[in-house]
Amino acid sequence: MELSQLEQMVRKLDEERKCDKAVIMALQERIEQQVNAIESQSAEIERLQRDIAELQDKGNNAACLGEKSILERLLITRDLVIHPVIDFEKQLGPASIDVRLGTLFLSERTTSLTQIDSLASSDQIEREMLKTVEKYVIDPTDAYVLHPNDFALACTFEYVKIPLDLVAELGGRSSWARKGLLIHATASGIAPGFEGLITFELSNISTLPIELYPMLRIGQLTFYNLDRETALGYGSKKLSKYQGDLEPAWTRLHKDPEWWIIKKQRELDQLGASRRSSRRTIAL
Amino acid sequence: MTNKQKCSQTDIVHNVKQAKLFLLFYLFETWEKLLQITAFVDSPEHRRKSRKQAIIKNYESALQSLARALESPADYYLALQGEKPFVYEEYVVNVISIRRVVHALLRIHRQLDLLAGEGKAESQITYDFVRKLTADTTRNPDNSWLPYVPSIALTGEYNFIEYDLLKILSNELELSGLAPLLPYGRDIVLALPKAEAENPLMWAILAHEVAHTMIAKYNILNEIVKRTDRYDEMSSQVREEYDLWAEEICADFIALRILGPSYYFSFASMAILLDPPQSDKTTHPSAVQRLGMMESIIKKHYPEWAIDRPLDYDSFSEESLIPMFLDSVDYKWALWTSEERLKNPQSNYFDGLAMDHPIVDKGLIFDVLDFVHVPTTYTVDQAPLSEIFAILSTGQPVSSWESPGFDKESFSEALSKASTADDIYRNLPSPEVPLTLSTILSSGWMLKVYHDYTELLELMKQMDSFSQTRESYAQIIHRRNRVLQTSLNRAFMMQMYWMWKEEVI
Repeated sequence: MELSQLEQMVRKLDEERKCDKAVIMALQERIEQQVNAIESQSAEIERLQRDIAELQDKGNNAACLGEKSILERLLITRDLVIHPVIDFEKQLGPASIDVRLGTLFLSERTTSLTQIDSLASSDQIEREMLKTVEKYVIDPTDAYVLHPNDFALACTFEYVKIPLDLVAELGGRSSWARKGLLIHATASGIAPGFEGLITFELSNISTLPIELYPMLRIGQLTFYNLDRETALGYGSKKLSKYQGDLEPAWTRLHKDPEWWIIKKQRELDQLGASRRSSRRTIAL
Repeated sequence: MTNKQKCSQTDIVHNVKQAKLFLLFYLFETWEKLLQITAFVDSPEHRRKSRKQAIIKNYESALQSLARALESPADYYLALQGEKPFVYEEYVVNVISIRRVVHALLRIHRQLDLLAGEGKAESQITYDFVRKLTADTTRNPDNSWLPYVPSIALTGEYNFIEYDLLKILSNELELSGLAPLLPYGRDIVLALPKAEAENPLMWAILAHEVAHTMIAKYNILNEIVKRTDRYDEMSSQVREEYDLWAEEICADFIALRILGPSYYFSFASMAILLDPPQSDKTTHPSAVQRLGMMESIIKKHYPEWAIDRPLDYDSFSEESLIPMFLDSVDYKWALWTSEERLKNPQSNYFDGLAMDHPIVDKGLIFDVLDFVHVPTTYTVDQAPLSEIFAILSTGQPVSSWESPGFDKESFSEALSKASTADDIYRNLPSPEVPLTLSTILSSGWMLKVYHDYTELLELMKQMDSFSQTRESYAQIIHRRNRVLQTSLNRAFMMQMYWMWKEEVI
């Protein structure tokens, strides 16, 4: 073989080697990419598996909290607050904790007004409420007597703070129910993130008056896990009207925006009616 | 440095830090007073009575004008916080503007009878406070110095009034046979300013009034007199003043013993608004003297003496809050005496007031109180003040603290192992200990000075309108009062519950 041919062959082989080297490098890069992709995918799979396990775990725990969990949340993690618990021995149940009656009561004074117009202005409604609502502070040894068919608001002795992953439910105690005492008027749910004294809507459906003394255990709270922690706790949601209450609060229904819409609609209707009637007057 | 030494204007100008501190307390305390009176006038009870609308409107507009008058000192205070140099004349102008507002406010406060002149009884919450106060002061309820809880009258001042019913009746009717029919004969009434009826932090002053009842009951004044050297050699005029002062100082010391530093703070807060007396005939020692004496008591004797001494009291109160209050009241005194000297250079009255009282020098009252043995509270709590303050700052009431010896880790371990009902019951923590008045009120003062004042400063910096700031701060004060009232009420109820339960068992 001639020298020139050899040189050509060497050059060709060198080019081929360079090409092969480039291919090998590209392949190596691809392998590295694949390895990275596999690694990130396995990390993702692990994360998903953990999430699934957590969700399954939460799903399994999405039941009522038992006495151990209640104690754990109250005394160890302390994210659930019921303060003060005077007597755990008396108040703790298998899946609940009893709450006591506070010292403040609100009742309606029916002699002052026939009705409160929900479409009136907020200021006017609040002024009228002052005339209608009577406040009583009861001494520990005095009774508030709830007469048959009577209705009053009171609140818990305990300050309650519900964490964002729990929802609570207020229920009556069977012994009081047997006397005809209802402690809430269908509003038994206590939202995650709520804090304050819980309001009792008391009514007596029996035929005899019921004597209520402060500190009596008239209700109980049960707690349920949420499937995941809420970002919309009661305090952070718009229109939370009773957050942080330290006494029973009369309804703040008039603060709901729906009333404003109804009021505006009614004003428009009345305007339309008056225009129609003025047109009619002109026609006559 | 004594007040006498501080009286020169040069010293006042140089002590800028103290001047700013006084301005802060003076301005904020005035603001609080104004908002408390506004809240009283604006209370639902008054608003409900339409026949008082004219009076309410007048009060409202007067209070609004006074609030506007505080605008300029507030701006001045903010400017001083920044780069503005301290100019004595400007400073005095602003202090005088606040002083005018204070004078007007105190006058309005005394005239609130127009609104609440219907003989309304005290609220259950204030009554419970006095009940807890008397309970906290009595270790053994059977040995109480007072067989009943004093009534409270809402007036324009703090006072202690004792009615001898038998004497009143016999003067008029010669009813000597009536004595056996009257179970107590005397009735004790504590007077509380109307606008403070909702403010537990100022109820601490009632401890001083309650102390007067103890002084009478145990004849403490006689004991002091017995131990006073050369008392018989004093002229009747000096003796009269000595007796009056001795009783007041003694009442302060008893109040400190019952309520600890919270009484000191309440008194200092009141003293900041009141001007020094303008005559040399006084029934009380001056506010600055009383505070000075109390400070020395707290520093020297409080650790051994106090009924309940919060664990971290030293780090919280002694090193910061008490000197802050004393410095500002002291500065005010120096400012006023300096003014009086300019008006009347011949008078030596102000020098005389700066002297220490002999009763304190000789430690006479300590001896007497040890001799009489002022009853102490029956619950001693060891709650950490800083933690209670932290909880109160979140807006949550606190009425009890975990029982001593509760350990989270061992409880957690026991709980996880518990498998029977017996295990659960056996491992339940001991009941929490209800907090004493002293702890709740002391934490309340921390809340006011370290939390609320900071909030107010922030509000003043952020808000465009003064009325907006005022409204926001009124909400803060309202919330604080409610939180403290709820804490006191719950603590009292818990105390009663355990006492009754023990009696039943």
